[in-house]
Amino acid sequence: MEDHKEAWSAFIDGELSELEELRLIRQSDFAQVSPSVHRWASVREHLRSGRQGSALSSKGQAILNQRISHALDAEVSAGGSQEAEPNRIIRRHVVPFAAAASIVLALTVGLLLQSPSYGPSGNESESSLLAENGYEVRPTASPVVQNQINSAPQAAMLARAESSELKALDDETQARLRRYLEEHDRSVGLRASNPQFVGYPAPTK
Amino acid sequence: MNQICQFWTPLKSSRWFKSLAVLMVMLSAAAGAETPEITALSEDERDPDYWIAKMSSSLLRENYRGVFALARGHQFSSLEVDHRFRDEVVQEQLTQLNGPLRRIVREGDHIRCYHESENTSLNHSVLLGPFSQSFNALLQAESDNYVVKVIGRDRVAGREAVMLTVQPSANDRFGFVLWLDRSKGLLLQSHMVDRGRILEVLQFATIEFDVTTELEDTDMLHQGWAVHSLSEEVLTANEEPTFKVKWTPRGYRVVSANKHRIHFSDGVSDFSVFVEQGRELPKLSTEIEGRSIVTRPLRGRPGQITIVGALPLQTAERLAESVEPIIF
Repeated sequence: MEDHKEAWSAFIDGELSELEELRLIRQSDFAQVSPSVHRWASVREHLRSGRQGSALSSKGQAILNQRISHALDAEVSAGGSQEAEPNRIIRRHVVPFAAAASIVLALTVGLLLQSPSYGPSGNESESSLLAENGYEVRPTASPVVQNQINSAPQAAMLARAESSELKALDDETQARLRRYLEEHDRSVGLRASNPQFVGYPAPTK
Repeated sequence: MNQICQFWTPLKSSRWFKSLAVLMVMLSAAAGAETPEITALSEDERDPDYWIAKMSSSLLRENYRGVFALARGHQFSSLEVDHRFRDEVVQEQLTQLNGPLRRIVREGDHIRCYHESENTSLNHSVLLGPFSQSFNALLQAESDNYVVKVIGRDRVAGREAVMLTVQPSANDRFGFVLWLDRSKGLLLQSHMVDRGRILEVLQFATIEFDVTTELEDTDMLHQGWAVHSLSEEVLTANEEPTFKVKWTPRGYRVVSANKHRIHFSDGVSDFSVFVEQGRELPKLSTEIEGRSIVTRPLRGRPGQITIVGALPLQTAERLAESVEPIIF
């Protein structure tokens, strides 16, 4: 009995040769199994043709697609009830709008991230008051941005600690550089109260 | 595959492109539109030139008293300022609140520095006002080297302020963010910025306008203090320098000069070029307290070029390369 079942299983799996299949059918009650065998043989034929490629010709494919489209359209118009209408409106109007909005948003975010500048940009290098270090001033200085502004100086100042290059210099050189710095500062401070040009001509270009 | 086709089908339709176009128009309109903070300002107040002119005037003409902080590099100073404008003359007392007690007293062009302790060195850096950069409307008005914009409103030292950006047109100089008193136009806060890095911060903590009291008598106030004049040190005659600077960034002009120094300004930022004999300095490009310092040996003659000021290092280096001695 077990052998018989295994033989049928192998038949279904297509593992039997033609002779073995014939033998199995002869050994069985053919009248009883005949319809099943025929149906299975047909199914197997379809599966084989499916593996080898489409059973339909290209013309057949076109007809099939056309029929499916008509069927879908018919379904939509047949179901033109009040529940289906909003869905159609959503699909036709809102979905494209939402998709467009997403792309615009993505583009905007991308542009904002790429361009650190606001306001008219410079000719050479998009010079900017904005951030390499996150410092940023927006036209509407929100509290969050304001906190960034207020906290940024400390970080920036630390980064600007006096150059070790200068500390490595001898006292005389440091003093001389300090003197230049002080003289420059005083000159700037004085000019603030008396902002006039002197008669000395501009340097040769 | 069918699902992908269903997703892309609407994208192919012209309706989708119409939606995209409508959104782009809305977005660009929103970007161009002024924020509510700015629209709350009057038409005059939305004009940056109005603020530059007002600030320039208020630097001299307002009577105010306040405390401000200045941070440059690792240096942080707190100072009290008392400023009067009487009979077209500026009177100002600037008291250092941390470190050794020093007071700078300005009366017109005369500037003296008083030291409480006679033992302290008179050789020190001097801040001659709350405005390290002498914004100058005269220079700025004709300049296209900066783009000035009113960008919003804020609150500084308990007062309503208008925010401006002074953005350089090129990367050869620094930019600023300014907070000006909305009523008086005085600079209440400023950041000097180099591509996002803040190099210098000035901020008033308290300020009082329309002060009518007279400044304290300096002789009474400083009895027993050491004093030295700053104006004599700085107000040198405008002598012909012994060198020339063949290249400067666009818009910079000479504002003072003597034999060994030329001071340039574009109305917003300043730098000095020094050329001196003596022991050669090492070739150096560095930043000290928010200012760039570049030193180079002078070509063709013994001497040393030093550039000091609020400039990016690359600009200062290019300047140094362009300095040449004048051969008489």
